Amino acid sequence: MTDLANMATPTIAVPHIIKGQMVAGDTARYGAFATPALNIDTLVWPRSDPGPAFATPIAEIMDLLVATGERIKADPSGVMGAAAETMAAAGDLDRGVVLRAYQQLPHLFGRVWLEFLVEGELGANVLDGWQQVTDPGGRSAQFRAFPPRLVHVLAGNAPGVAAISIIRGALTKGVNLLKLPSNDLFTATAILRTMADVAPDHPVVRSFSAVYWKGGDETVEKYLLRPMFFDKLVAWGGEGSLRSAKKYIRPGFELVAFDPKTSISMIGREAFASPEILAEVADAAAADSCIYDQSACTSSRFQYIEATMEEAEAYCALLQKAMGRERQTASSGGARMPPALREDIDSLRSLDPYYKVWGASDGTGVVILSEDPVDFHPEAKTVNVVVVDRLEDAVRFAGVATQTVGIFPAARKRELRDRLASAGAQRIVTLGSALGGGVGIPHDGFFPLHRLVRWITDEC
Amino acid sequence: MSARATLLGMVGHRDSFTLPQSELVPLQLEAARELFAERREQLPILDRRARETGVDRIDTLNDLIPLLFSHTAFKSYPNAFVQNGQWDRMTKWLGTMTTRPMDGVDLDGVADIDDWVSRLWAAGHLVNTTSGTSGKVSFLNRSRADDALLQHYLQHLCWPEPVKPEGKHHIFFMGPRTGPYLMLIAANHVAKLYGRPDSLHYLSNDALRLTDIMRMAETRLKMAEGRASPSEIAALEESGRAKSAEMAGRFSDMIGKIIALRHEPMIITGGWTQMWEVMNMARAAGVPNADFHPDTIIQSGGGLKGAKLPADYREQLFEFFGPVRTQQGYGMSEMSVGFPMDEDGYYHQVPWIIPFVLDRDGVKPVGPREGMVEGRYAYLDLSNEARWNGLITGDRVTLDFRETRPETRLPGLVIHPEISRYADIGEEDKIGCAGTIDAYISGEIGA
Repeated sequence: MTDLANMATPTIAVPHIIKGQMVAGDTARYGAFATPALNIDTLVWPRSDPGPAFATPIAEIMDLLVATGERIKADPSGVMGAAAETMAAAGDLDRGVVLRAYQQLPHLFGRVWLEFLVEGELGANVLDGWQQVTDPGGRSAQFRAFPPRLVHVLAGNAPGVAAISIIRGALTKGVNLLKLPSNDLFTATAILRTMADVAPDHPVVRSFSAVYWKGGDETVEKYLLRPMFFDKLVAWGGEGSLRSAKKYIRPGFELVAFDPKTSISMIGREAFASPEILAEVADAAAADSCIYDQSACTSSRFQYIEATMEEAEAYCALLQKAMGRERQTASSGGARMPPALREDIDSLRSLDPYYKVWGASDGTGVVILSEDPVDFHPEAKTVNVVVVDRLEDAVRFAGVATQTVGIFPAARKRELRDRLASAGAQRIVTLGSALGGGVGIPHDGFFPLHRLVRWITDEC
Repeated sequence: MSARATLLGMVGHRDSFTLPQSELVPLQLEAARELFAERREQLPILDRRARETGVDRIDTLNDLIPLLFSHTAFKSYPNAFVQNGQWDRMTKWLGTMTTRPMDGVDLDGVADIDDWVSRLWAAGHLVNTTSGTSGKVSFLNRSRADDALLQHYLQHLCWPEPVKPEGKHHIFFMGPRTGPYLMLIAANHVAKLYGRPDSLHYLSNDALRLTDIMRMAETRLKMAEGRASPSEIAALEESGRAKSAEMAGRFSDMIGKIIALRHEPMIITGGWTQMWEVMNMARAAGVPNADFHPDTIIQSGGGLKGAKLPADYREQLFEFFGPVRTQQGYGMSEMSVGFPMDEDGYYHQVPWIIPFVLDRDGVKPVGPREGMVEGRYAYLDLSNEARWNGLITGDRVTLDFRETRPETRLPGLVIHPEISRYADIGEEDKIGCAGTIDAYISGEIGA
């Protein structure tokens, strides 16, 4: 879908970062872009030596991250701005959405957030030193979070993925090989270059590499993804990345998967208490659906509503209007609809009264009202509103692929959340709050930092 | 005579697959204009597309590109209609995709999807379907005139030196006897035209049942909702295996008959991997090379679907079969007929089908219509009465617009023999955190 592939401009050169050093080159060509040739020997940190930052105090790492965040914001070299422009030019996301997402990046590097992340996902004093415990039998033990050796397969649907991966990777003190996605080839390298500008040769800087190879490339993955070199593969989403990754999982080489997910909303009949409330609900639901123009796992795609058909129609009209509003992570009309989806929707337009459709297929938002969920994957700002008698009836539509469930009114979360969790859902939010959060609390069903580190004991 | 009638009238003419573009394109343009004007009146879905893309007139062939549908368009019905047995709604959906009025279809007491299809046929809607490996099949309406064109085309097998249909061939078809696949429909026509009524052989005399294919979609839904029990999933996989084992037995019986009748003319229709097995079994039985009757027709085509055969499998096969006749083509369930293969292995344009080569995304032409162009294959088939048949496919082809070329003895626009699927080539490596339940359902009924 990228315009990169179609532009008559010269091939775009994508730099690599090898252990903190930038490497330029364009000998490896991948259609619209080119990278330096990959030397897989340079991508491993031998186990015979501790990683560069294994013994760096966490306070020093936080200082570095905070300073990196400040420099990302000031961007004196323009490297972040250039990365943002390239991502915007690729056209997978609306330009305004990309630029606003970049403006939010420094926020993640704020000290209070870093402290909250470490405290919440790991607990204090396990990164720098040993925790002492004595079991009921009187045997004593010490344990600590030991720095891991990680390969991150990054997702590229939002620049925050690269930022949070670098932050978590740095906080573990471990070594980190980032595999860049073709839909975000620049954010991770730009952040690492900024970090290197802050503190050239810092142990954390030397603990990061960021390179591109084509996902599934056996000449790279078969030799790199081995327990002799790395402890864990941290894979974001994308069936493609998980499919190729899983064949390398074996004892000693573990998969930490931020699984590909989908999200839904559940709206109780309380929404119809007054026209004002209905409008607020529609706006909250639109906000949850349009996160990154609906390209994120958090973006709601199906909304189950307790309503008569007539009530639901009034709601759908409001929802469609609300989806056309520009928001922090949403454009007013910038979502590009894949042709097959457009045809699926066009087909439903002809099936009134079984399916009713609001909105044109032009990126401003489409709402489909039906009695059964549609069998295609709603994306590019497309929402399927499904009428149910009771919200409990919609629990069966939540499953192991369900991440976030946004519920209105908030009071009804209590009656639904255990059943939703039992069905497979991971995150319950008040409708309108799907965006945000995600650090310092569980994500995708686990505490990320806790799973990234290696837990080592010293027992008497 | 209209331009479209002129093009359709070329069926069966020896030189119709080798005409120069200078002769064809003006006819095709005029025919496309006629057809577009007529179809947008009949099909709101085409009219909407034309309005949304701002295509109002056709000046060049490329003006048609925004009017091509994606290859999933003809399976855009909600699966819920099938699962809930809402045949009136399915009929209404099909009505939006076809020029034919649907009011004559008797929907009383329709039991399942196969029943529905037979009611459509009874009402003159000769729909064919795709094979639906994902569990959802396309429904492609055809009129009697569309079927007549196909029959007419099939009376000239083995272009450029066609074999006359004289009812003298033994028929061996490596599939079920009937069913709504275009390949089966065509095979039945061929059997009627060329076959000895006393010697028609099929792997199975049962009809191919869409219900079995749709059951996969249903089980997938049950799995997604966590309602399928482990043993149900196992049973479905097992039934697939049992069926394959039974078919393997019948297949080897059929090969036995082929070997026995090899000195008489026959038409063997099947996939390349099946032909490969015929060769292996025959050789094991001591059949020497080139021991088949010269009027025998080997009818094959299509990809290898992941099967591993040596690169020179065709050469090896024809060394074995010897100087027999062959009918091969490049086509798909959606096209009225295939592009016939010449003796050099290249596929020649059918005059009423306008081919396009688009970029990977299927949006823009890759380049001007000249020389050799590689990309995503799309086409507008001007023949179909029952629908607007302009589609963007998942195939990656090289279209050769040159009038002549050193590789082929015959002139005209051709598609090169090397054809791959975009899905096989590898995803674009774009990773996002959003996903669907498909990633969580694995095994034989997986996506």
